[in-house]
Amino acid sequence: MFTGFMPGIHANTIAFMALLLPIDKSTGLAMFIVSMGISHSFFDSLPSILLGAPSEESSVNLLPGHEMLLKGKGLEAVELMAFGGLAAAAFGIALAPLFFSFAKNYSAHFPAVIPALVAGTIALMIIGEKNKASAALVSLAAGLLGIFLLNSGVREPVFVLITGFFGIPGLLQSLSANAKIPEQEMWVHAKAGTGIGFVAAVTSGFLAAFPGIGPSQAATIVKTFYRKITKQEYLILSGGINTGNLFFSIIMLHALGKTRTGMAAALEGAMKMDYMALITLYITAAMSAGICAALIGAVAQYAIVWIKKIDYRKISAVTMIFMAILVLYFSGIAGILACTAAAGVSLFALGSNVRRSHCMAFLLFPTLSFYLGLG
Amino acid sequence: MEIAIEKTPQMGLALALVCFAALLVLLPDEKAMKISEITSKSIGQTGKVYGTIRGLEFRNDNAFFTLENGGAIRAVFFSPSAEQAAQLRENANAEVLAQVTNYKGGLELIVERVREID
Repeated sequence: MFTGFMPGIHANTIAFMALLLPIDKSTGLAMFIVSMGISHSFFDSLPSILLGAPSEESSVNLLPGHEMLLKGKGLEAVELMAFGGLAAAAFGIALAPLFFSFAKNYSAHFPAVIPALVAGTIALMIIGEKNKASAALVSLAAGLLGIFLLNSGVREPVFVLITGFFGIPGLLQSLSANAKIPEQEMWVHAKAGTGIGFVAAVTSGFLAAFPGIGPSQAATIVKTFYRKITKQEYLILSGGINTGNLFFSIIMLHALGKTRTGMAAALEGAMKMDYMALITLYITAAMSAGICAALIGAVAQYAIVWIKKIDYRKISAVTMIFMAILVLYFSGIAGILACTAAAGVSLFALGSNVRRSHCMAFLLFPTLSFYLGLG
Repeated sequence: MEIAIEKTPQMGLALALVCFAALLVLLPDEKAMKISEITSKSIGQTGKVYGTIRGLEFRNDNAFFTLENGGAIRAVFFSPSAEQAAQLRENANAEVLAQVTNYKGGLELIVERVREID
């Protein structure tokens, strides 16, 4: 819950810190890592929806969660993402044997498919924009920045770029646009289809198999091949993919010994992944998802009440300074420079009215380059 | 099928309870076992055994030793990680999480985890 609330502090950071502690590397530690990863996937929706909200003037580029916050439906946005996470957990259990078999039998073909999938995703996202030239420019700039930084030796390059692309620009906008959180509905009366939860679980299964494709790219693929989805469905899909990806990464670790998420990488250091460990950790993940889904609505209500009491601009300023300090601490001056460059690319995207999710090319380009043998 | 979003907490709680019950069944009962009380009836049981490591040998990445404490029992640790292997020292007192098995007619511990204790 703590890592979810604190912008910039990821569950993976705590997991790797836990591995350094002089405690037994055991099932208990692995269960702790899994629970924290799953909880983070639920609770990190709170700062992104409640703290990262830009003003209405920039609504073209707002993520659906922010849009709902500005319409007084922040709690519903949080609950929709939690519903997605819960649905992915439930379907994740049901689909586990199928996915396990898929990973075991077809993993040899993954390296041949991944470059085409990644390139296709980048192309689909650009084609889906009105301003295709700007979208292509954002993708290219983010991709080159990703290739450069990931090979530069700068510590925590992913954190640096995520902060630059997705954290700082929204906060800067909030500061300059005098954003104000409107009155929020404190009760949710909405319905959601389980079908989109199923789609999220299936999609996250494929995400775990194919590195480099993130939730927003997956959502684009789903929108292209499944059907146009509403913003409520997008939130369910997004919440489901975030959580489901962690579930399936446990299977990938056991089936192929591949670490597709930070959580899986930490697990690798915590215990031997035998069949029993797989089942235990999978059930632990589902239990954590259940507890988080049960708690997050109440926590979000408190957070909304608390956030309304304090100056939103001050929160944005403090959050931004905190993130900058973290970047400086983890990655030094080079990190700050890279973060600033990433923020510049992201602000260009905002100014050009193209989706900021094109900035995820910072992971897609290096993946493509790796599988094509270029890097 | 459509579900009311406000039911998410109840559904989450239900899932958590089912999983909690499953974990209670699945997780090994790490009860302490005295070496002198380990008999053929203990075969299949998993627990913590305390004793002194004697006759430690590493062969083919596996560790073989005898655990002594009011009795003695052979133990094998298959492919311990470097970190776990560092916990294995001749004459060291250790806490061993292991399963009791039968090997060539004798009792043997299959070690899952080891921790040196003072």
